[in-house]
Amino acid sequence: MADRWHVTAAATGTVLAGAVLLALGAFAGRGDVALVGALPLVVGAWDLLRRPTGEVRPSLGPPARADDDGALRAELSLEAPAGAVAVAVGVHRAGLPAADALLALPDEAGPGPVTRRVPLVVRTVRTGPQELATVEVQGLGPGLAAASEAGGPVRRDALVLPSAAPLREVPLPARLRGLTGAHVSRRPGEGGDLRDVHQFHPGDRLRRIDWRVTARRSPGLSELYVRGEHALAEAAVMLVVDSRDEVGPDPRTWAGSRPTRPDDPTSLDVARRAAASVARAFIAGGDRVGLDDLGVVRRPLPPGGGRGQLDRITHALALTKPEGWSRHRVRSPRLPSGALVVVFSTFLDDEPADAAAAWRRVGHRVVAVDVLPRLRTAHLSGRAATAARLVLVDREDRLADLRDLDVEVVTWRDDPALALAVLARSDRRRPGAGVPR
Amino acid sequence: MTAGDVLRALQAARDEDRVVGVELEGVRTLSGAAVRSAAALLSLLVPFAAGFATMRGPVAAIADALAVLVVLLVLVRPRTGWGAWLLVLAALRLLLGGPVPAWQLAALLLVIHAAVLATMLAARVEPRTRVEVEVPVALVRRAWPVQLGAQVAGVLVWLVGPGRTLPGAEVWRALALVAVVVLLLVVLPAARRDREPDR
Repeated sequence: MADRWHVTAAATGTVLAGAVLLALGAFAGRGDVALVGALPLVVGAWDLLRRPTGEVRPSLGPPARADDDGALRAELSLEAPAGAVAVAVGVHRAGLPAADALLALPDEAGPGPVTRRVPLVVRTVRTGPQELATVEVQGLGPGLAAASEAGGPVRRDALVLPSAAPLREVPLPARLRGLTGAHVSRRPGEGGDLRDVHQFHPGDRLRRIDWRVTARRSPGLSELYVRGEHALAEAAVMLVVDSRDEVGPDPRTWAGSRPTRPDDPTSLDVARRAAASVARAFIAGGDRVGLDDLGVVRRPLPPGGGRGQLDRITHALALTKPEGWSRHRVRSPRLPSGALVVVFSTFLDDEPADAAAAWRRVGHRVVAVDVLPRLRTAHLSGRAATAARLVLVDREDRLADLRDLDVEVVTWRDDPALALAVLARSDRRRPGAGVPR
Repeated sequence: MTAGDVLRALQAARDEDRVVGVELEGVRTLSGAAVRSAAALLSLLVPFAAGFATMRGPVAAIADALAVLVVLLVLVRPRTGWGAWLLVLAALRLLLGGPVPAWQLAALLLVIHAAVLATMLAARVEPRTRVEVEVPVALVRRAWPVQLGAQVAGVLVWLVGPGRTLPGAEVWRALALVAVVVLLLVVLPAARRDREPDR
């Protein structure tokens, strides 16, 4: 049989003081003093005699993502023995306290346990597999004079998919593919803008004959003129995520000796969100998008289109995480020819920069997306600040070298939609970049 | 550095060891700091209701200082049950100062009961704890019949009057002593287990 709940220190003190005063008042013949002691004594003793037996059981339901604000909601269920009036709830994330509450239990007269359900809302900036919350509870008896042993802890993990931010325009690769799509290619075909008006040749469709031009240029109908159009085409895009390192805004956590706070987005969180945003923008435009990971040697997700491909990419991004020591790649992963390559990395070492440069050299258009979060360096000590500055200077040199190699660099912590729109507009001024000359 | 900068720095230092963005939805709450402040305020009313203001001399100064000290301890460390000492101080004031009018005894019983409930609640919360409004409401709802009984007993004590010896007074004293011993025997074994740390 379980023990009855223990008496709190405050209740013990109150009952003892009441007992002393009751005895004092009785022996001094002072009814008012005895009454002052009797009141807390009777109240405390009555509460203690009714204190419950048993344990409080918390449980945390599976989380669901709300559509409106992006928060995760899970149902916290508290089951307490009869007689319990309140439950103290402590919610932790990553070992740090996140919420404390004292919740009332329903006033049920029956002998069975009482249950209280409360929605727990977690607004997380992190994505991927993570701890949703860990809950500990302690039941409180009548008058809050008795407390149970701590119940739990109960932990619930969740896989948080990255959400996509809206982007205005995205750059296109140097070469478009196929005869269908949302972009106008430079090849002759159908569906695009006017390419030229030329004399009818065998193979031209009769419905392409431009009768007005024919009547103007050849009133005798000795020659027929047809309207030529550009073909439509689609872009192939490869998203390359560098999952080898995951660093937060505090450089003191980069060595791994102290954990990143759960309310600080890491570089991998930024990369997941950036890649999901770019993928959604391209797939919404009818293009084909694939995904590769620089951190692991495995088969990439080949380019594809449609909602299913976006779901596959989003799920694969959520599962992307650093997996031990990464193997050094002798050569960069092979990508579909003519694809636009978007590399998401912190560029804290040479490997992603080398891969981006190699892809650029073989003719891919390469966009390097810098996903290093905005750093907090004000609190760093002298040596740590110097070390962080050296690392950042090295990184800036690396990014400058990439720019020299005609790799376009976008910083995601600034205004990525604007930067990508500028890149998209700039390739319209470049001959042969997805639009007719 | 402006006062706003200092406040922001203090806020940042305070939030350093906490995670933001987690909450229990749909629960009307009070802050734990407000609950503790209310407990301290009600504890401060106990000496007033007991008539500390009418005391004069060095004893009064010592009593006032002790009362303020206990109230501060209730505010800062409510879990250790410092509020019980206010009962002792109030009773000593009654013993030393003689009987009080009926209205004052009624007010004292009301204030003591409210202070006991508030300190019991404050003992279970930290300043950052969110306390559901229903918790203090339920405490008051369950306490008012006891308070009604205490007020009736107070009227009876006033009707009997001070200094009058009831027939069989020795029996009443013996019964009170036995009741105290029995209640302590009930409470103290359970209280020993409270040495284990509370959450």
